[in-house]
Amino acid sequence: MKEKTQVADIDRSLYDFRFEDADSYKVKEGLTEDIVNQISEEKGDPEWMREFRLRSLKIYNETPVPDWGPDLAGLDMDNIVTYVRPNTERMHTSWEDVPEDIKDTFDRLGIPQAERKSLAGVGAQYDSELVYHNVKDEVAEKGVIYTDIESALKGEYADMIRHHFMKAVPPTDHKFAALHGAVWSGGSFVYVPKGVKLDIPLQSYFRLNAKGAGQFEHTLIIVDEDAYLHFIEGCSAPKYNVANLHAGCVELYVGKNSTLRYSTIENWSKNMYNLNTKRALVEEGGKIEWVSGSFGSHISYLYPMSVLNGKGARTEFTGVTFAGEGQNLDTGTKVVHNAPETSSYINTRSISKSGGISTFRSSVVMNKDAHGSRSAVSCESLMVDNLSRSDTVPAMDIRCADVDVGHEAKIGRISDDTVFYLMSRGLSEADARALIVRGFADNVSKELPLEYAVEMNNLISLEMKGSIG
Amino acid sequence: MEQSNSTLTINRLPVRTWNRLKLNDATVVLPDAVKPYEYFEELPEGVDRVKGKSIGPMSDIKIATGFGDDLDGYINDTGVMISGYITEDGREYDKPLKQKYVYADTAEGIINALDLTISDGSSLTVVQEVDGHTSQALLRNICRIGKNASLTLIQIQKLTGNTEFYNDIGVYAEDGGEFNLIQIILGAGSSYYGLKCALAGTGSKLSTNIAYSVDSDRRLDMNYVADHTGKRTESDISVRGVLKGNAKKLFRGSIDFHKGCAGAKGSEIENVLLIDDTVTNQTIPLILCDEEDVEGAHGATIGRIDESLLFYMRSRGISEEQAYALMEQAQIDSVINLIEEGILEHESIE
Amino acid sequence: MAELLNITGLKAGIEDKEILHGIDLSVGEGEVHVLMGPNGAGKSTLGSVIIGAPGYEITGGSIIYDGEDITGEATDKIAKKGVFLSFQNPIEIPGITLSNFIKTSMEEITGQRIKLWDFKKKLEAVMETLHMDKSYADRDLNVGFSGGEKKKAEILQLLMLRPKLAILDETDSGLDVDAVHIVSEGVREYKKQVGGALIIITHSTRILEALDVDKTHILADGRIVAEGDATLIDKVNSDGFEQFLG
Repeated sequence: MKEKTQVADIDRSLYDFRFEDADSYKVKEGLTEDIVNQISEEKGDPEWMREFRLRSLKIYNETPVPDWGPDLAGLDMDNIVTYVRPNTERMHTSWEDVPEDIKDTFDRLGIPQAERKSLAGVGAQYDSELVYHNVKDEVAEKGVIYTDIESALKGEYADMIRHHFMKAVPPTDHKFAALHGAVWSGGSFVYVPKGVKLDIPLQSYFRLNAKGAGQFEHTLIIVDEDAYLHFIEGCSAPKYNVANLHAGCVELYVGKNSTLRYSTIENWSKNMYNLNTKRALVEEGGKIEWVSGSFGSHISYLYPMSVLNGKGARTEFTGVTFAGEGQNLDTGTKVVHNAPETSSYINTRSISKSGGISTFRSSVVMNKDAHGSRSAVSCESLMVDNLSRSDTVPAMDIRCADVDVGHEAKIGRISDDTVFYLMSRGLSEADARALIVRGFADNVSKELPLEYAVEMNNLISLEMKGSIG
Repeated sequence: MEQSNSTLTINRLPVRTWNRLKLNDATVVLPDAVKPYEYFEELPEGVDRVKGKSIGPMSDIKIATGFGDDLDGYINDTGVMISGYITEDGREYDKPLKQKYVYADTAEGIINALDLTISDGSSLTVVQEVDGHTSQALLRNICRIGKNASLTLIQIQKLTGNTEFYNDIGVYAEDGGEFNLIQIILGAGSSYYGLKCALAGTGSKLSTNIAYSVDSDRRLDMNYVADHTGKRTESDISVRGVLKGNAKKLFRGSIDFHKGCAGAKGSEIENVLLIDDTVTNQTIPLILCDEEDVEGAHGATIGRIDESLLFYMRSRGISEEQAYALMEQAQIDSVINLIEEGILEHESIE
Repeated sequence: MAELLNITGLKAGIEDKEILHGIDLSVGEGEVHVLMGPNGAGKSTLGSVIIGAPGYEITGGSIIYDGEDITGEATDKIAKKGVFLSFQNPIEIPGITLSNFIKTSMEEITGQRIKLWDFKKKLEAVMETLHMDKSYADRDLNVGFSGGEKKKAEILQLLMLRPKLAILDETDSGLDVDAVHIVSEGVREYKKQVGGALIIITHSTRILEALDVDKTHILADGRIVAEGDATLIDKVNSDGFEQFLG
């Protein structure tokens, strides 16, 4: 007789270690004009930014919480600390200078090792501020800018930042975009000049250590014409029994005939509300490639959006979401086709296990000018056991006749035949099921650099471990 | 004379999504002064008709419809008379129950509310043709399908002018019960179509074949839900359509697998041919799944004629223009061809 | 015999991959040519390119049919000139019946209205020779047809449309012995009634049983590597394609 699957707590010690708050400064919990002014002062914002923050706060207060998607009742803004400055005077360009406990955190996460081995540059954020930032000399020599956004805001690129900051994602977009506009802190600015093709990736890693805090980093990437960039984003946090909030914002500007690949392996702790907004504006002949693995957080609302503004602009979205015990992960993507001959290709997998809820949500919009455009969406969901839930909510809004829009979705469970076949070749049932789930998620692992693919497979194996009674 | 109206929210998506897409529901205004419309009917011998109530052993089951609770309340408030029908146990009817509604403008709104009970082991085909024009008309069918019983409902709508037409269906199927729905939607200024089918009994089945053609400034708003609660239940929702001119169409289709519906299967497909750049096509196919042991799939193809299909036709000497003309008609004919010969008078689908 | 089709130096492929690397092929009126070769040799590509399939790019050479350059011409124009391609995987078209489709197609190709009664009579007669149940005429084209019925429906179209050049792309593949027999009877009937030329792409010889083959071409890796008469088919059957490969 087949045993019903059992749930065991997974081993998250790799991410769950934490240090006592190393912060030297934090604002009070909650959200008021005073707090926003305080953050602005603490950061030495230019005046326009201070005004922008206050305007965003007003929008935040006027905008309702979404009436769709996972329940956000457990998130009480009065208890969230919006700004926590780690105990370090400034950002460092050498790991030697980073305070010991913070350096130790990133060491354990393998960031400096990865930097030496396979990255063109690294930024590391601890709570609200970037603590480390460095690019390889040969990358800097090509004119690539990779810096924290605060210094960019005051330096040579001040105008460029002002021109682009929250223009792709305006604070009016939704409540948490407004929140971000009010209290954002940290994050990276990347500029890749015309014609520069970076063959090794840049990486940012976000670590939220403080209990009951929010992280609101802003990532702004501008890829000029005929250029290429692969940007990798990683995030994690130790688990607390109070809610933490992540409401970051990623704005990507992809120039004419350029390609930007944006890869994320998200592994927030399971008390995190991940309400992140990511958006790319793509010019003529440009391409945005999203690779997205969502494993962590208690609740996620995450829909990277591609706005295809130029003729022939393209987007590819490859995603996997794994919702385990206590998780409600609402993920997907949005595409707007605004120009002729644009194309979108969306391929996602969702896995639900141990009572986890995963929802694939998408929207594909084709406007009047989208002549000759194509869109193909394929999403598959896997129910690992009978305690979980999986929903698929894809919307299409097509206003141009000369297009080709296809959508397909499937839902099912692990086939007993496949498990039996693998067991007949000597695998245990647990190993067989883990193997099947890893295979199911290979749309994403195939797209990731090797080390990240390995990390992702480990995460899946961890989640699947002990799932057999 | 002042006319009072009710504002209702109907065709709610079972799970909401982004409000700015305007897909979550439809808000409609219906008149409070209504009466049933006199229709032509051919009642097969052995089908019992009772005015004013639903009849039979299943009459107490509360059945939800595609339009939803707001409409239920509204119909109750209007106090409109329900027409109940019931078949004999175990009887397979050769002759269909035919109804023809030919609206001519009326002062009041029109509501025809039917309550059909298909008794255990019996099978019946019901044909409803709707034609003519008026300001607002509503047709609602509540279908109670007994054990191993089968109901085929064929609805053909060819309303003219700016008629606002509301077509709502609620179904409850017991063990082995089957509901087959064929809808041809050709007319009306704006149409709202709703279906909710509770597949409660083990092995109960829903199959729909729907074809629509929407042109000029007309609009069509649809909400179809297959609610799988029974074990080994099956649903198959198939929709084909053509959009032309300034047509606006919104199709919501949901397969909802509830906990306990082990062995259930659901599939859903919409194929839309777009003729003009001025059309608006919205499609949202949902799969909601609270049960591990199910198979669900949905698909949609929207836009121009599929490239390989066009190539095939061209390889037989048919030009692109001609292919579009053929496919426009084919979208509708593919569903009409499913209707058994002799059930419709030929002229009715011209 | 007068030349019907002349292909010279034909290079074609998809996107940036060339599949045909310079094909020369000449087919005379009423001749029967057989095209054989290992999987992936480009046989189906050649058939598709002749009739102007979308997705293929012709990068060199020319296709002259009946004295006219049809290289890169629109598919329906080529079909109207009398070229027919039997599909390996015929397309399903819900809502258009088999008989309606064939009638439309005949009217497009001949440019003449056809009387329904005459058409029906002729269609039924041809269906009978193909052992097709008459009810198929009123069924939606290929919808719910078995593999064998789909192939028969292709041959039915061949017999009704009466092209001057018919390209049969693995019309015999996936069929049982009886179905292959019926299909090859149909092809023989076409030869007898219409006398058109044939290019038969095949893996087996069963479809050729009732035909006199004029010429055999072996295609490998996008090139014609051997040519000969009907005896070449036997050589392939006994020794495989290895002998012709580089």
